[in-house]
Amino acid sequence: MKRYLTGIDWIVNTLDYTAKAQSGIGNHSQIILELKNPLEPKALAEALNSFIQKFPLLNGFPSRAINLCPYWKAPLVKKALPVRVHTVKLNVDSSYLLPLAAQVNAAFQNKREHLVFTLIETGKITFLGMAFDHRILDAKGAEAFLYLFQNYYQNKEPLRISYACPPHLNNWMEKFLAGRQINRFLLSLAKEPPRILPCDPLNEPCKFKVIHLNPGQTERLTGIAYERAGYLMFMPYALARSIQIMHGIFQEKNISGSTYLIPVPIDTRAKEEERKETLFNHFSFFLFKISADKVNDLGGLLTEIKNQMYAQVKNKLPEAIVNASFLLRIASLPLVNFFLKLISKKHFASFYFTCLNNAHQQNKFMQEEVRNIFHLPRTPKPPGVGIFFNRFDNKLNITLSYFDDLLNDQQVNQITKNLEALE
Amino acid sequence: MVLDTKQVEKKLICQLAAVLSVDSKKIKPEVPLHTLGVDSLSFVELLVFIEKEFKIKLMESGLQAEDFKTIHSLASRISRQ
Repeated sequence: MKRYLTGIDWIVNTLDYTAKAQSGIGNHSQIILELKNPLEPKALAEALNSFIQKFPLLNGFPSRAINLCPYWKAPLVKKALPVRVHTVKLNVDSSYLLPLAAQVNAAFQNKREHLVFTLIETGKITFLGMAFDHRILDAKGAEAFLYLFQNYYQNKEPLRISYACPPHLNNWMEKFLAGRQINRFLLSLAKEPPRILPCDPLNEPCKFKVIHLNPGQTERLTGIAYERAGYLMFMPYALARSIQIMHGIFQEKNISGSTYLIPVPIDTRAKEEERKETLFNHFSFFLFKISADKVNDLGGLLTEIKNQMYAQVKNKLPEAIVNASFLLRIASLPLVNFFLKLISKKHFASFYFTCLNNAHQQNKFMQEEVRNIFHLPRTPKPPGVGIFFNRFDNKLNITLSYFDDLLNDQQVNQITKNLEALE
Repeated sequence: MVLDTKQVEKKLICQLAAVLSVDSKKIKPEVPLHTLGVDSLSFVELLVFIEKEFKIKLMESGLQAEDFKTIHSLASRISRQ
C-alpha cells in the first residue's frame, strides 16, 4: 500500500529531517486526554492494538516512486507493530507534565513507529498522552484519530477513512503560477529579517507550561476578544495578545530587527471530510508580518492582523502555498531544507502560534468521561518557542512550548502570568 | 442600489454552506454564526465574498456582534449600505 505525499507533507517531512539532524528527535507532538477515572492498562493496550491494525500506513515510512513522486510506503506485513503504552503512577502533587514532556522528547524506536501512548494515574485524575509523528498526523488529525478510535471501540463500526491521494502530477501551470506568487510574497517578507531568539539547535529538551481556563473564564475571554477585535475574531485577538507578550521578551533580550514574522497554520479539510482525512497533513498557513513599533497599540495591532488576514484570504495565499509546495517534492529532504533556509535566510518565524477551534468533541474515551483535551507540540528550532490555543467543550487551553536556551525561568513565568491575565 | 434583504440572505446562506461544506437547508438566518461552527477564517471568507458580490468592504467596520451575529442581521446591514 502506498499513499502519495502532498507538498505540505513534504515540508513536514523536511522539518522532521531537520529536527532529527539537529537532535536525533523528529518533529513530534502529543495530544493529551484528561479522564475522570482510571483506565485499565491491559484493556487499553488491547483496544489500541486492535484499532491500529486497521491502519497499515501507521507502520510506514517515506519513499520515492518511479515517477519521482514521494510517497508513504506501508510495509507488507501481516501484523502491525504492537503499540507501546507506558504507565506512570504519580502522587497527586507531582506534575503530570514531566512524564508527558519526557515522552514527546523521546525518539521513536524505529522508522516504523509513529505513535506512543503514556497513561498517567495520580489516584485522583488520569491523563492519556498520545505522542505522534507529525509526518503521519497533524493536530486536528490526532483529535480525529482518537475520535475514530472511540467510534470503533463503542460501535465496532467500519472506519471510513480516505487514504487516497493522487500524485498531483498535472496542472503544472497552476503550480508554477502559485510558486511565483509565493516567491514574490516571501521576497516581500525577506526585505527586513524578522526578530528571532538566538537558539542552540542541540540544546534539549523541549519544555511546556499549560494554562487551563474553565468555561466561565473562556466565555469571558471570548467576549473580550469579540468586543475588541470584532465578532468571531478570537484568533486575531489571541495572536495580537501573544505578539504583545512575546514582544516584552524580545525587548528585554535586546533582539535586533524591526518586525515579527508569525506563521499561523490553518486547516484545509472541508468540514464533511474532517473525519475521513485523518492521516497525514491537511493545512496551510497565514504569514503575518508585524512591525515591532506597532505592537504596543492593541487597536492598531488588531487592525493590522485582520487586514493581513483579509488580504491573504482574498488573494488565496493559503491555497497558493499548498499548490506551490508541490514543486518542492522533486527535491530530496536535505535539498528542501537547504532551499527553505536560503529563501528565509534561516528566519522561518519569530515564534509559532496556532488556534485550534472545537475540533472533535469527544465526551468518552473507552468507557471513561473525557474532561479535557489539549496538545503538547515540540516546537521546531528555529524559532524554538510557540504559543498554542485549543478549545475543548467550552474550555480554552493555552500551551507554551519552549527550549531552555531561549527563555529563562523568570521569562517563562512572565509569559505564563501574562497569558493567565488574558482572561 | 437598494438590495432586498431576503435575496441577500439567500446568497449569504449559499456561500456559507459552501464555506462550511454543509447543506444550505441547515443554515437558518436567525441562528448565531458561532453556533454553526463559523470561526474567524470562515467568517473572513464570507466577508471576502460580500466584497466581491456586493462591493461592500466590511472588515474595517469594527464587526460589532449586533450587525454580524446572524445571516439576517448581516443581510440587513448589507441592504442598508
